Amino acid sequence: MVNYIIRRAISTLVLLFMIATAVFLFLHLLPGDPALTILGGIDANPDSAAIALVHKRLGLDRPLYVQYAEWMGNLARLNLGTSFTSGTEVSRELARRLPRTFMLIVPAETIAILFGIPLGIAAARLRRTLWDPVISAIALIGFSTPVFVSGLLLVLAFSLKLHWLPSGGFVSPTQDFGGFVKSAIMPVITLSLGPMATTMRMTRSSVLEQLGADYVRTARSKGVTEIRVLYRHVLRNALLPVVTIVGLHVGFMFAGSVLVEYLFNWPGVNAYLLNSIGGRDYPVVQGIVLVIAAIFILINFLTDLSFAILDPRIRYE
Amino acid sequence: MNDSRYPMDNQEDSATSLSVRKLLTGQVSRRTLVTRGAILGVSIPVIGGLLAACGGGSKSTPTTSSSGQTTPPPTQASGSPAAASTTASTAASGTPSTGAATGTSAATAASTAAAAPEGQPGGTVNLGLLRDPIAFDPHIAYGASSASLQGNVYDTLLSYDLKGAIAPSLATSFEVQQDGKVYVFKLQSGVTFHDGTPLSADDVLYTFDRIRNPKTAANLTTQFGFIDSYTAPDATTVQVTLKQPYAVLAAVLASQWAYIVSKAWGEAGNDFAKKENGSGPFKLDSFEPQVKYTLVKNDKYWVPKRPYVDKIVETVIADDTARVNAFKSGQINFIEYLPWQNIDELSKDPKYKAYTGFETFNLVRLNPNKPPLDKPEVRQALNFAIDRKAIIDVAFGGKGQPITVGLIPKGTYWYNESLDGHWTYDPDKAKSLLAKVNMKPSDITLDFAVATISVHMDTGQAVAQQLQQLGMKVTIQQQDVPTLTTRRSTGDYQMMQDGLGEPWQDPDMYSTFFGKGGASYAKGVNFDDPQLDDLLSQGRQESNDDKRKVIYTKVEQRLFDLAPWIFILWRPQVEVTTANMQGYSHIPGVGLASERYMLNVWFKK
Repeated sequence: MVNYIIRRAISTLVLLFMIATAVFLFLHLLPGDPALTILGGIDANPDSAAIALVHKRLGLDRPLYVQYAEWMGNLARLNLGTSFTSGTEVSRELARRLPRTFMLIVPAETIAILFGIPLGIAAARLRRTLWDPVISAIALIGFSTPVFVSGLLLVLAFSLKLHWLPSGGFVSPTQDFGGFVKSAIMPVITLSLGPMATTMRMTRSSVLEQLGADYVRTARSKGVTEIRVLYRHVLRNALLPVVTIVGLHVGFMFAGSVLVEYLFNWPGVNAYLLNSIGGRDYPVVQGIVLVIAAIFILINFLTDLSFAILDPRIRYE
Repeated sequence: MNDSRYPMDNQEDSATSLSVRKLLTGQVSRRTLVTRGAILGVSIPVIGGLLAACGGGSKSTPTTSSSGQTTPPPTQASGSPAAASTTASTAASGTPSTGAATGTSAATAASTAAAAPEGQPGGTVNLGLLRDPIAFDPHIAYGASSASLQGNVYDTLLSYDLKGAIAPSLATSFEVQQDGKVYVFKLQSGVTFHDGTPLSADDVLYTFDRIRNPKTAANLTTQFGFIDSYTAPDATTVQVTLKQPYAVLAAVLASQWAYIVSKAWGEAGNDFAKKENGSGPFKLDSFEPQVKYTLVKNDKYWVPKRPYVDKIVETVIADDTARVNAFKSGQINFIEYLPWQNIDELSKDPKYKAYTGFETFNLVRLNPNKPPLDKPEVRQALNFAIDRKAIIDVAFGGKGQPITVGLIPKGTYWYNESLDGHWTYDPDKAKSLLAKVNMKPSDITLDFAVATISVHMDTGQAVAQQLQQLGMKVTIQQQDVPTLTTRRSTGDYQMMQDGLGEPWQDPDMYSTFFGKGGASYAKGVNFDDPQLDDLLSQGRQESNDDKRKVIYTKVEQRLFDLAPWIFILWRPQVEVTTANMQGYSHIPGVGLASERYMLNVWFKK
């Protein structure tokens, strides 16, 4: 097991190195000049001397390999650099913004699991009744509705018509927990709908698959009640694919939360990433991509580890 | 990702401007003398009567228009009346006054200030911004959003009143001498920066130095190039000597890139981009980049009883829908850049007040270095090939106005009625123009760069479609803002959709676009027309308004021949506030930069 973990750690580092290189190259090859953003953006018309000055200040006039070496050197010391536009350290901004994105992703995934799995089991149990297609239809709607449609519908209903909830913005939970909850409800629900649907579908099909297995027939013939068959025997096996899905969800949610953060004006990491790409703020983009990649890799690793826990046949050497 | 929801939005240097007040000593045209006399004659008894009636209490001048109060921005209200050489008169925006006498306007200024309805202190303005202000440097052009930030935190020497006329600010008055080559400014006393340092003439000199320093990359570098030297004969006087008469100086010094900064603070090495130390009505309290900026009231502001509100909280809400929703749900009480789709709905609602202006415009930049656009006939043909009204209907729901002449807005003094209606929708004329250079529409292939911003994309697509209807081959390249700004600054484009505003409404704003080296267009494509430059140079130096107007008529006629752009439409620029917010005014010509004047805003309880 320890060997396994060590091997995973090394391959993670290699992966992160490749990602850091790739994102650096892509950014520097993109058309668009960071200096123009700093000097005012679309409304400004700075002359080439001013632009050259900014390039010098930011180190952009040096050859690419020198800048790359600096980027790698900084990374080795866990320094993500400073933002071109605001001058603040990327790691500091990330420390501020990442938790906010997690405040959306974690509750959303929790809701997805809390509702998705029981619904999936229910759909599997009720498979020959009318409930099955109904639940499946709900899942389909939840999955196919684009985030900005479901989000806007929620805003229309609960914010504009009923005035129960704010239409957007972020309130810090440490400052005003009630306000935080109010501002988070709609984005979290919006974000959870898609994963909830896929979790439900996955659970349902996985349970159904297991229900056709030999050991289930054995258990039934032994006289075990259907409920006990389900919850004590089948579920453990059926959940394996679901665990994989959950790992993937978190990855998708990082991407999906871009729209949610935009729509609800939630100042998380993705909004930051989007704005920084638009401003060609290289250090910020590099830093965010790397951190998200690292998180993604970590989650996948944890998912694999949890396999070992769930299934005693799986052992890593 | 929906392209139209792009954060780094808009284009427009929000127009700050107004009618140019020509100041020359001893040269008062008959018209202005009569006008001013009439205004004085009427206003003083009226205002006096009202004052007597209401004892300086609540609204003295009832207005139902959204301009609200008649309070001009900072005017000395106490003691010696502000003696502005430019009259804060009630003439329509664009009417210049060639008055100079420092005395006559004193009474008007004092009376309008004293007549200002009393606002109630307290309250918070929650402003929803479209774009992030990016940084705090007072001399760099960050775009419209910076007016609400830098504009409330810093002061300029001169400013604008509610009608869009030049008004005193840190300079209580100024005199123009030597036929327009020397300006002498008298500074307001008792002004301190936020750190407590008092303002003196040295700070003004330091500010000018900073603007002229190429390292600053100041927006006004070109304009300050007309200044020869400046001195401070004493602590409250600044004397500026120009290389040649320069009619635009007042507008330049009132613009949102001419804020006065503290010499001591600057020399101490403080970073203007990251912190502020202005003399303005508000102080920067806290901020999170790209998210929220909080300004608090400056208790020691030099204009008495101002500002009224305690705080301004500016939240960046880049998505149009999210911003409108935030306004409708009450999270913000001031929204800028209202999408045209919501104009009808919100302006008709009695819970809100809407303010509209048309200072920004959409155009297509043409690169005269890239054939076939090197032929003026082709460029003119493009202008006749588009149906502006149809474009306005498609891209703005009918809420816009076609540009039929040039960049001087209709209804202002400088507008030339005789040129009205020059650009029309005339496909036949377009074809005959092309025929003159032996071309047919099908010979024309154009690459058309359009930014992924809704106000650009809709217009650009409409333009492309109409040109294609004529038979031309137009390929749209949709690219994001940084890509386009890079191409724009290097002239690496054939046709590019754009939207702009005028830096000031003095007709010399044409120089910033079409004068040789004009940063806003000419420089990138090496546009250089000696005949036009000569006219522009004359216009800058001419002191007589009537003669100036003739010169600019010629400028516009020359632009008809040169057709460096496809001139399309004036865009609706709309802000909306809650109905209880008083004192805000979308100043004609100043446009969105009116957000600089939050010191006048108050809440009716």
